[in-house]
Amino acid sequence: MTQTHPADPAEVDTAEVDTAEVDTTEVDAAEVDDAELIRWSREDPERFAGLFDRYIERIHRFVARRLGTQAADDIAAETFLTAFRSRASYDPAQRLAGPWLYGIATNLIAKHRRGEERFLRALSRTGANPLSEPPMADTVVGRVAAQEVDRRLAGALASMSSADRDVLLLVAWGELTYEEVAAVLKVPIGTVRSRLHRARKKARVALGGDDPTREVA
Amino acid sequence: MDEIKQFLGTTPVITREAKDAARAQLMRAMREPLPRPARRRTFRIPRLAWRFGIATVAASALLVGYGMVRGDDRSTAYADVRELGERAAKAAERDHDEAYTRTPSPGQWLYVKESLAPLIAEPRPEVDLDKRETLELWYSLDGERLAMDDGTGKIIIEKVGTGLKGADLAQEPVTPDAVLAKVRASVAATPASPFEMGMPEQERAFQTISTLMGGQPLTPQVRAALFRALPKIDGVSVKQDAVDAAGRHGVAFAYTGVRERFEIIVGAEDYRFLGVYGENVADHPFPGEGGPAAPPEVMKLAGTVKAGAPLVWSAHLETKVVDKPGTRPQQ
Repeated sequence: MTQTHPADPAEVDTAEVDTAEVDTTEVDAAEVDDAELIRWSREDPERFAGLFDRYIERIHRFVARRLGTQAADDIAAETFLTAFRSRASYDPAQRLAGPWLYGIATNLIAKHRRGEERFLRALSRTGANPLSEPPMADTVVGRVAAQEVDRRLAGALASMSSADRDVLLLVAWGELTYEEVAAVLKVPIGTVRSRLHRARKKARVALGGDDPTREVA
Repeated sequence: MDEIKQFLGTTPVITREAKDAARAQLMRAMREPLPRPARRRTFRIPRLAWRFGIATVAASALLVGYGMVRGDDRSTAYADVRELGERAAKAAERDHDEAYTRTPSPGQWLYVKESLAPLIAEPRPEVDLDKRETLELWYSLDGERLAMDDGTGKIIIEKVGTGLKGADLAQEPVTPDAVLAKVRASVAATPASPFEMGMPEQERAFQTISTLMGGQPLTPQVRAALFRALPKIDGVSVKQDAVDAAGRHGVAFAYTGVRERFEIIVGAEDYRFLGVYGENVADHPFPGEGGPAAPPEVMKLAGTVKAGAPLVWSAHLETKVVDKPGTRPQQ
């Protein structure tokens, strides 16, 4: 699964930014990775805004797909407040903060399980997502087919345990690796694999045998 | 095709308003001092008084509804909290309902009946969203006392409140800035209660306005000014769909502080009070025996309340001016 991040270390020459000796006020935040921003924010809290700018849209989108946009407004904001307040415990070896933020968001979503399951069950009955923009499919047949897929997937997601659903959606929507999911959920990687296996199996059955998480070139 | 990745992929992106609100919350958190542990006092508040204090905190946040008006504005989407405040204010100015505008006699009390999610287990301050209790409160119209049944049928009266009265706010000029200045002056002049320790000034101002609007009959002009003042408090935003403890949907003035977030829920169409919801926004410890005001040798930390834990959830059921505490409207 391809990962995309706004501050991929591969794209940033961090070796040239020796933050221990550099006046951080003169370094453009866009040039440093997430871990460095968080480290700076311990001395200068407003540096943390850089992390917000990098991730707010993706975290909000992740939550909105699970709970709807209104709940996402609150939870996305809470995610960054929680992250800010716990930044002292951030592992600086993790150069990208995306998995950490997705993990916080997932923990906050956990308090709204019933809402998520109601939403998914409603979608599984109608196939029409009230939150969505107009469907992409440009034909009636295409729209109906897309709604049918959505209806089945919603039913499958609603029927999963919340733990299995968390893993599946962190991988599929958050684009976290298995190792990252294990780290943010604080479970062994074997548990991640088994949860993902169960989740994929349910989704596959719902779609009549196709593996919906399978990448197609 | 990767159906899971595309599933709900057309969900709208975050709005500019929501993004700005989230960023503003974060910036406020960055600029506020770290929350400090509650200051300990040298005397022990009786257990009943501690419970009373919790009820007071909850009640103070929920009482914005008294004096709310029935309007004819049925639009339910608000661009921001200023729009909510403006619509509610205009509805207040249009209102001529005698029940909301008559001047009570001195010495009268305001009776409030509410449905409340109870605490899961004392001293843990987290409420059980699946259970309800009915609570009756009487607020003195001088704004200084609160009465309630102690559970045995005996009415007890505690000194609480803002010290501000509706009559104070009705003195000219009655503008949003003027009433907010009076509220802030009251907050500055009133020592923080044990339950307000570490609470920012703007949060106490928000709570004070709630208490005033709920516990004091106010003129339409004062109510309108308070509605327009709420958006001027840092940290107050609009929540488009909020639900009270009776399951009624409405819109909320929401305040997000360092430790807690509160919603004052009003009807989206008539701006009448529906209820209040509050929750933790960060993990923090809670005190054990003796409550937050107990001396160090008594108070012990009993555990941690997690971020997201609900602290209060209520529905406002009935409000009426009565002659004395303990008197119910049907009596």
